[in-house]
Formats: sequence, C-alpha cells, structure tokens
Amino acid sequence: MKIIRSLGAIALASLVVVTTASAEERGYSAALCSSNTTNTFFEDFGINVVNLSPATVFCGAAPIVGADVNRIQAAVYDRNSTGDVCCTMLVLGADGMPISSASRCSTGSSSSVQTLSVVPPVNAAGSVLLSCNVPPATPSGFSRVSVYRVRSSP
Amino acid sequence: MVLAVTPVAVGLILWAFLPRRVAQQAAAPPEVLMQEVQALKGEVGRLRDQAQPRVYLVPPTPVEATGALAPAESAATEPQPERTPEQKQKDAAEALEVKFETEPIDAAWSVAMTREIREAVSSAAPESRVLQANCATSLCRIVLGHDAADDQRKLLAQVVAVKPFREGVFYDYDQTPNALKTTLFVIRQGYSFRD
Repeated sequence: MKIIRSLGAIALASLVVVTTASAEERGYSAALCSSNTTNTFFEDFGINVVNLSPATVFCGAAPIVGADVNRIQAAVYDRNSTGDVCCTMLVLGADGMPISSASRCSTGSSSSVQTLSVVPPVNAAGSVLLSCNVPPATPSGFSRVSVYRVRSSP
Repeated sequence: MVLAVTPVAVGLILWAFLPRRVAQQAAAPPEVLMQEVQALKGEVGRLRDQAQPRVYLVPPTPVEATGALAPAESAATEPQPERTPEQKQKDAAEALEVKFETEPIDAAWSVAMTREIREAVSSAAPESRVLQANCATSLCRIVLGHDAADDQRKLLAQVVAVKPFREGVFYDYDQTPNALKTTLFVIRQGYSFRD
C-alpha cells in the first residue's frame, strides 16, 4: 500500500513539474530596443533619454510563435517629477496586426526601479512589441527603460 | 512445550471469533435446512422469470486483415492536426464573446463607459464608425466599421493611448472586402481578461 501511495505521489510531483515547465519566461535587455530620435543612448542599466526632449523607445520580444503570451513586464526608472515613463505593450499576430494592447505608466519620480506589468487576454502571439515614452532627463538623473520580460505558454 | 501449546491457543482464538450464526446453522436440524434450500430455489426461479432476455452484440467481422479501424475509432486515435495561430486567435475571440454575453450588466458603469467609448472613438478615430457598443460588468464589446484597409490598420495607433482603451484591448479583425470591421473587447479597470 505504501509503495502504491509513494508511486502516486511521485506521479503527481512529476505532473506539477511538467506543468510548471510548460510555461516559459524570457528576459530581454534594453540593448535590443531602438528609438526614432537621437537623444537616447544605451549603457549598462538601460536605454536613457539624455536631453530635455522626451523620446519613444521601441522594444521587440520573441516569444514562441503561436504561444499564449500571458504576461509582459518592463522595468523602468522614472527620474522626472513632471513626466512618466509610459509603455504600450502589444501582442502582435502573425500578420503584424496588434491582437492586444494595454498601456501602463510609472508613478511619481524616484531612483528605484518601477515594474510596469500587463496580463494580455488569451492569444496566439506572433511577436511582442513595447513602445515606451520616456520623459526628458532631469538633475535627478536619466529616465530609462532597463529590461523587459515576456512570459508565455505553448 | 511451546509447540504443543500453540495449536491449542490458535484453536481457542478461532473458536472465540467464529460467528455464532454459523455455529447455530451447523447445528440446525436437516429438515430446517431443506426448507431453507427449497425457499432459495423458489426465489431463484422467480428472479429468472423476471429477468429480461440478454442481448449479445456480435462485433462485425473485420473487412481487412490490415487492422483497419472503424471511422469513430480512427478519429479517436489519430492525432488531431495542431491548430494554427490564426485558428487559436479565433478561438480566443469566441471565448471572449461568450464571456461578454454571459456577464451580468453593471448598469451604471455600462451606460457611462459606453458613452465614453463612443466619444473617444469619434474623437480619436473619426474614420471609423461605431456599429455597436455595449458594456457588461468587466468587458465592453465595440464593433467598428472601416471604409478602407488603411483606416483599419491605423486604428490601434489612434486609440491605444486614449483613456477607455489604456487598461487593455483585444482586437478581432474581419477583413471581408467592402465590409471591414474590427471588434474590440475592452477590459474594465481593476479586472483581468483572464479572471
């Protein structure tokens, strides 16, 4: 009897491991981002806006095609007390058309990292795109997009 | 000594735990047992008469000796073709449709949000026509009509940052020529598409 119970427990534990293993999360550096303005530069901690003009930064991600992207997160720094870092997070279909969108903004201004997070509706993703508006630099420092991550299930 | 005592002890234990009824029956006179047997035979006969005739299904003879399966069996065992991303996306849209249709309606929020969405679309995306707009409790469903494919393509850029659409939108495109439509499912703040 004990042996049967032990085997059952092992089978259940394996199932949990398999279920957990089926979801995956990928992290990306903002080194992969690009901008259509010239007032940005990348250094170790992210892509920064260096002058008194805001910038829009585009960051792509590569989930498995057809996977269900169930969370998108961006780590940002907001050093501007009058402007926020706002990211629109898009899940794109196989044809490049957006199949879901959501926007999230940082709050206040601080030297700490802030995490912007979106849980999209169930989808079959072609790819993921983040479009982030970053406010101008201030004496407190540069505002920036640092890293971002995408979690999906096949 | 131990060898001699053990069988006696076992015998005593068995006798102690033996059901009394068995012992009594064993001691019952033969005529009583015969009556019981006759009663049981009568009961069995009565049950046989009541029983429905059994029908036996004979499996059909296999057509070929190659092990061909019946269509139903074949369908059950053949691996189903994996659904394409486009099909999965349609499934997701249908699931949201069902969710929206089955939600109760939060009347106060629904009326205000529907009005806000209509105003936002007419202001931010004037090329698109609001064909339908309804809100329930956590979701709104908006159907927009477009005259040109370009209008449909630029819809996202026009509405994505506008207030009612910031929380989250699911887009379902109907690209039928001359009847271009986009259905938007908009999530209410504080709710999740995956609740």
